[in-house]
Amino acid sequence: MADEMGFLRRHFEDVKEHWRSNFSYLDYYKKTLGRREPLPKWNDADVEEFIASDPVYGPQLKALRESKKYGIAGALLGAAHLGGISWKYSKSPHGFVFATGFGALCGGVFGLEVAEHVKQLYKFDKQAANLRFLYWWEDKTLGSQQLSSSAPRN
Amino acid sequence: MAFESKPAASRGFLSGTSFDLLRNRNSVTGSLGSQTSVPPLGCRPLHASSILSESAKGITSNRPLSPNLILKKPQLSATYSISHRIFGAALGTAILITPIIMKFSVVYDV
Repeated sequence: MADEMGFLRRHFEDVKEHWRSNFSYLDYYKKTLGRREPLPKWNDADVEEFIASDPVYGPQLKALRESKKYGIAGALLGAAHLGGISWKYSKSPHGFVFATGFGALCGGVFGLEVAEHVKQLYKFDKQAANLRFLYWWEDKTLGSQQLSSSAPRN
Repeated sequence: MAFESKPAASRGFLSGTSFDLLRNRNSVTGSLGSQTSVPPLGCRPLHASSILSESAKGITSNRPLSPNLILKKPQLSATYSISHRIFGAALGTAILITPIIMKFSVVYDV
């Protein structure tokens, strides 16, 4: 069998599983963005209900939601800092706009990095915490429809 | 200070006239008080912002700037160069911003 495949094909068969596991994080986007019809809208109360109901993934999602504030605060701080410096020293109006945007971007990334440590987000799988809520919401809202039509999950 | 350099955002966009020059004019002698001092490095005003008569002011401030791209015939090499830079900047932005979007989407989705 291995002789029939040739060198390249055999090599591909060897590394296929390795790369599949490396790119497995892309499945998250298939499950969130690649849905055939979008999930019904949810609001904060629904998420709070899930957080209260799930003892394992509820606290994870709670920490993830609280870390949003860190990103926003960091973005505001970064925009004010870099925007203020460019307002003081820049000779060009568009330079001020670009600097403010870039400061917001860098500040947001840095704020999320702070949240990663303060909320200890590195301890769990953030995508999985989101997906647990999405599956719970899907079962809650579309559960009866799915049983009747037996549509595929994705 | 006549040659005080303010940031463009507070100075106003494309301001051809500088009112600070008029403010520092000595009313007795008619000479400029701070004109004699050498402006600090990098703060030399453009030719359009120096003192001009009122009739000449409109002409100089509306004068086309040196590489007048409207008057030039679009060359193939120049068009290639400009589009090369535009696409390069767009591609670089897309590559750099993809992991950032992924990072933000995980936190801000739900």
